[in-house]
Amino acid sequence: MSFKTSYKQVAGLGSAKDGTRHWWMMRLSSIALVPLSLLFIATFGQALGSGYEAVIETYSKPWNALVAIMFLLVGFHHLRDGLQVVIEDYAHAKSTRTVLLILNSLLCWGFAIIGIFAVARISLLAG
Amino acid sequence: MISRNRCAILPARPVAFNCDGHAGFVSHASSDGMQGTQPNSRPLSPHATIYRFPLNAVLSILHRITGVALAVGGVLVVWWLLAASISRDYFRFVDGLMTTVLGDLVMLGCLAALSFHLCNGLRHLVWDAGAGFSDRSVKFSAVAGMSGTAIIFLAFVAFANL
Repeated sequence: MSFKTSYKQVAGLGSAKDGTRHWWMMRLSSIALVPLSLLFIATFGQALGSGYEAVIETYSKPWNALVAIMFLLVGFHHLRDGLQVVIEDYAHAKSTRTVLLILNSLLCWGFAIIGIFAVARISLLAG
Repeated sequence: MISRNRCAILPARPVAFNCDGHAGFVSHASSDGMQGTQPNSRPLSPHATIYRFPLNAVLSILHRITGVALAVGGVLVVWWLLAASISRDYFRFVDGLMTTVLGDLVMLGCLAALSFHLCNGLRHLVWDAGAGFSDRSVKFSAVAGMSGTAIIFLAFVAFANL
């Protein structure tokens, strides 16, 4: 059993290189998502189930495509940061936690980029 | 809420029911033959099974649940967009799945989750700014947040292609 305090265990090892960045990015992204999520679901709610041509036409408009791309970028960043906290709260074993944190980052960035690529492809090919 | 979770008045002598209304500890002090044994008629700390969470605690848990649930919605939206960018046939398949009764229920659930997460997130932003911590403010913003959730949800349902 170690009698070292948690401070002693990290003293001299340098900073964690992160500081308050996670906290601050969570606030920044949530502020950005207030308008972005409303604008995105206004378009998406109309497009879902309206047929292929209507969807292509919707996302070939630059404004709709830009809102969708911004929403996907900021939204998945926010999702990654949020799920990270959930994983850190509930996954206690170091191996499980590390694997889940890696998967979380890779999947969130992956889905964000797939979504952005899809919107860009619709928008640019149709235009 | 206080009257349910705590005992305002302690009984002066042992009673057959404790403060939670459960059939409790019937006094056998005079018949059990053990000197100094007092029946426990004092209120016990909250029983997990009947403890009623304060509204704000429920909203806090819901904030996390809706956040995690929105991961599902995000993946579905990306799949749908990807399908639209690939081909007409593949889009028809994915769009068809997402507009079945089950698909509609999932997407409506996501809309409800997003409406709530948005409104409750605004409360967190106000708290982060250092305001709204009084009991009154917290209760007010809880009700305001739930009302906002209902308004956003119904507004978007009204305009959706159902």
